[in-house]
Amino acid sequence: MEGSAAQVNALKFLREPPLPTGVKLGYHLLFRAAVPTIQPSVRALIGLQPARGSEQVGRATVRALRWALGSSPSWHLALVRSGASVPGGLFRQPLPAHGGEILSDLSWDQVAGMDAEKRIIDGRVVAPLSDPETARRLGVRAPATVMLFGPPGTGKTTFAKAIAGRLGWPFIELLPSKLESGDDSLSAELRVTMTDLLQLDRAVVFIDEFDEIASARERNPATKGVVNELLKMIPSFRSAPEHLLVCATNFVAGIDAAVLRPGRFDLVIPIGPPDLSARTALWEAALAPLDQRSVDVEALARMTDGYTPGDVELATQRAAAAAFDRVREGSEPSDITAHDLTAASSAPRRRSPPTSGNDSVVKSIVSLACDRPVMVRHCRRASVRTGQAIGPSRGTRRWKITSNPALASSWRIRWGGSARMVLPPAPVARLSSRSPATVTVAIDAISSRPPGFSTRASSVSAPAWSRYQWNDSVHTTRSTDDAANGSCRASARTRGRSSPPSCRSRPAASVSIPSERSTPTMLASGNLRVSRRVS
Amino acid sequence: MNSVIASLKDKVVASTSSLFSHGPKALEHTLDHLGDPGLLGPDSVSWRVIGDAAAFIGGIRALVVQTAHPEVVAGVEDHSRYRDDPFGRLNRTSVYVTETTYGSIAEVDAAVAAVRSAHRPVRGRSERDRPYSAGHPEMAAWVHNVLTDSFLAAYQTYGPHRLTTTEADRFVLNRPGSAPYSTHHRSQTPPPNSRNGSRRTRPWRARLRRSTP
Repeated sequence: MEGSAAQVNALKFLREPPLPTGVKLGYHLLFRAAVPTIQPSVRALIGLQPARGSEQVGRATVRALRWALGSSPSWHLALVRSGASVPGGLFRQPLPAHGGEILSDLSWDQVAGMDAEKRIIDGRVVAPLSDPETARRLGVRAPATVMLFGPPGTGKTTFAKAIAGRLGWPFIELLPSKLESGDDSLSAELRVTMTDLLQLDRAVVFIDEFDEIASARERNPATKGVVNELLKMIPSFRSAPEHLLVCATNFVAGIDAAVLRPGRFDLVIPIGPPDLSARTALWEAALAPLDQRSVDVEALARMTDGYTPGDVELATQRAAAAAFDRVREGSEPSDITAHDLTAASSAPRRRSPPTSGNDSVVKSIVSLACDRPVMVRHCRRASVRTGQAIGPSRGTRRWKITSNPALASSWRIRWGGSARMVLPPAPVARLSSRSPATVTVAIDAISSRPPGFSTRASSVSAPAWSRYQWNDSVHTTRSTDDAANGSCRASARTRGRSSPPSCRSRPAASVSIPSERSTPTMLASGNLRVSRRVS
Repeated sequence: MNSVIASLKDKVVASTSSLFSHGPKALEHTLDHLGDPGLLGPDSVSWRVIGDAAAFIGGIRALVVQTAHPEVVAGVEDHSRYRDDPFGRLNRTSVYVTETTYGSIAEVDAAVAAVRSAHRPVRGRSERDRPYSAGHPEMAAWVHNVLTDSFLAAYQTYGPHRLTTTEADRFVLNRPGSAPYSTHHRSQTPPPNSRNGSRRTRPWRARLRRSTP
């Protein structure tokens, strides 16, 4: 039984329709995907056989279409017309009036290095949200609210965008300064905006400088209304599927305790300054377009420990300016040299790295994730008096790491730089009254091992995220370096206390979250290392 | 590598979706009929199946399978401008399916009336000298069944979740589309009333022919 000429022509046309180039690809993918769905007997009748991998191509095509277009807008319209509820996650919607953008997955690659942070964010934020079924099956709760904290310029915003890009959800940044308009108060505007955003099928909502609107009410009564509004808003956000609230702050300690308590923020993730590989990548990117002699990028990266992307850019500009001045004066060399970059990197925006001194360095003290006493300390080149700095209250020498067994099992603490102790759940580390008057504590990073996380996976080399300006209510005594430099106020007892501008971007302060404060799961990478020494 | 994949993805989406977005849009005034659930209603399986991106594949599959019926193809060949206007053909089919699936009752009626009117002059003789008519119940049923089977097959292969047998049967039973000829075709070529009925081609074999030489 042979086909008619019309049949032959029709099939030929369907195989190779004279379509414009722009749509040919799409048509061929659909055609190719359609063939394996035809019953073999019918396929034999019309003389078609599926090409290899057709089903896989079809699946990828449909996934891409579903991702980009959502379900049929006609279905959406019909649901609205008939008065039925519109299920979330099915329909693509226009971005809200507050702005917003669909970002590509490429944002992730824009974060150079930062492997530890990437691993945490990918594993704990992106993966459960992008594969909710597996997460649900294994009892993993996909996060709805995430706090990123760390020093300025470390890429918190880029990470927030990267999360949206990886999820393929719209990214909407809320700027508190723009929300407040006319007679409406910020809290009212926030309520309206968040209600609007909850109508979206899915969204990553980002609030930068979160401490501006959520600072502790007792310290800043002006924010009371906004904080109260946030407290009401966060639960609605958490109950909305496929919505992720990402907040970023440089001053996590300044945020109202009620906002940070468990049940409000699922994850609090530190984003430290770039690690060595990230700095290398940053320098390579900064130097690539410049006329420069061969510079040892790795040496430069090693020298600029603690530099943020902004610092790298500034140093590059300084080096370029020095070369520019030389050229104008007719001097040699006429391009950027390693010396220019070294000089620019040592310029007094930040202190030079510590060199020596018995007083050593308190790189950082960070206490994480506790139900009860929580301390976040960050000191660099400053010694800390035990009683004042470490205890949950002044004079107390007890340091309760955590009472959350899920988290406590993962703390690994190294005392004295040699002995290593893995704390049992709910450990209490005591510094007895005979303990040295000065304790040097250095925590490069912290490893939290929530259930299901292997130690190996989380114990990665830590970024030196010890350069925070968490300037708060604890004492930091002046380090020898500080004294020598005379550049930084030795003690910052209270938040907001003035310190020289040169000190503001430095990590020579420490911060304490009061003992009654608690934080939700806090994740960091690497091991917690605490060393103790006699001064 | 990621950028290549992202750009390919964008290209695929743009080139695929634009295939079906030429010409008049479906349901432009549907919100004038607030409260009308349409022929099938929000809980229908059809709304789910036709609303998924897999329906793009179902649409193309239907066109391919329909070529197995020489009289149907003859009608298309003689009376359709698909060669000059392939987008128009795709769009008209897409609008018809969309309106009969999601439209208010008034829109369904209008879509059916428009198809009946367009099909009225479609009659003639095929190459094998058999008469054809778009209004003939047998041919209408073939077109309808292939369309139904194609959307179902595409959804079962590429949809987000596989339909259960009951859901698949409900989809087949409730598919609108053969309404213009429903008063006639039952007596001659009964429409499928189940998933298996829709997929069974044996009853049609005698009327079908190879599409290839």
